[in-house]
Amino acid sequence: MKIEVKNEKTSAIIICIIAALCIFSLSKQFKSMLVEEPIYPGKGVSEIKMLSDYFEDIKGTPGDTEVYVLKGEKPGGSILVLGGTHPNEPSGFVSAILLIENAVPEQGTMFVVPRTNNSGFTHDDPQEGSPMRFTIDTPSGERWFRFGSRATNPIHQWPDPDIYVHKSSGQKLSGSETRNINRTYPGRADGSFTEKVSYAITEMIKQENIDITVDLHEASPEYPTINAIVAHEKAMPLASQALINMQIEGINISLEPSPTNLRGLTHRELGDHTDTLALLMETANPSQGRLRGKTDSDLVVNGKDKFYVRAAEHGRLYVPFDEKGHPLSERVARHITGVKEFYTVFGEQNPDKNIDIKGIPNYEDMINHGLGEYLQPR
Amino acid sequence: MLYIYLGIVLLIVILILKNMFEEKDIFFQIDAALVLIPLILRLLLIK
Repeated sequence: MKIEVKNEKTSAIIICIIAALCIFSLSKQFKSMLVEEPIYPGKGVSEIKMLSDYFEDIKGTPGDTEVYVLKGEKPGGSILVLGGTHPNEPSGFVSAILLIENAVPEQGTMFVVPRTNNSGFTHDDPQEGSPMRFTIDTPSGERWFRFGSRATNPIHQWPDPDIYVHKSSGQKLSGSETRNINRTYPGRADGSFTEKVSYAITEMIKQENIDITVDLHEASPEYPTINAIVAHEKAMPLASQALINMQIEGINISLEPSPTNLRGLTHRELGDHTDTLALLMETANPSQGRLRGKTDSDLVVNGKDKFYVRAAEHGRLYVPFDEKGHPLSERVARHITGVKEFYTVFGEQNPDKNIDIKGIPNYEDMINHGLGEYLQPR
Repeated sequence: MLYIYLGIVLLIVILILKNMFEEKDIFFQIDAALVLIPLILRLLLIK
């Protein structure tokens, strides 16, 4: 069909004005992702540092982010919890916040980075239909959190190459993986924006002599590495004992060795390039899966999806999936329990580096009472 | 590199606008506007 106008300049001006209004409206929405959700440090937080304290080059950039330090009175070991490596995997982010707001160390030190890829929180993935935010009910009202992207915002690192080459190994991946922070470790001081952020994380671990690093993730229910711990070979004795303890608690979880030929990930590179015991955890997140239906805040928080129930009936998933779904409270409870087991077992294996942290809710309480009970202010 | 790509985006925006003001078919003009929106958002480093 063709409709010719008599005065093409007038129609072009009118269409430009409509386009400008669309751009103005969209700009407001996209820019709202720059506003950070509040985090209320609990009484266990002794200091809030910035990641740029460990690598000054990222100071003032969107890659710089808070490092919450929770230091006990008695000296002991140290653990780093990385949340928000992938901002579209909310259980890692919410777990980190829950630790910041509740954990009170008596012995040893806990470092928590809730927004490891801070830039990834400032946008969401095109064509995914994901919500920009999700909310959790607390006794004092709703708390909101951003649901971001797996990768750095292209506004902060662009353009992508056709092929991303991981510099220290030569591994080749698709170009967009250049903005996936969990493919850029150990990072490079003179590398891309994302490589500089991962370099800062590596530097923090080295400068603080952090004993254990736990990177919290989620995966689609149809992805094989799920409800799992992935451990560097140096961390295997620790992970094995923690796994047994979690299974005794009734948590169905598996253990996988970090592949030696899959490079750039925390569980591989931080274990190879630092003295830390590198671990990664995965939970089942239907809101990032390919088989999901309507994608909204309800799916993120309650984790119920009828299409995943059908997929499970056809044996297409790597986790059980029924009408109860996999709510965020369950996924966060798994992560938090894993972190507790890691530092507890580490203390048993290294009595001179014991870590004792109070105030962290247990698995059953989080499942039964929901997350809102443990999120400040209350 | 970023500024080279922004320069390319600006050039394409100008060419699309030029084409839009010369095109008599209103559907082509609307198509041009739909292409312009993401390009301008990227040019302004908003999305």
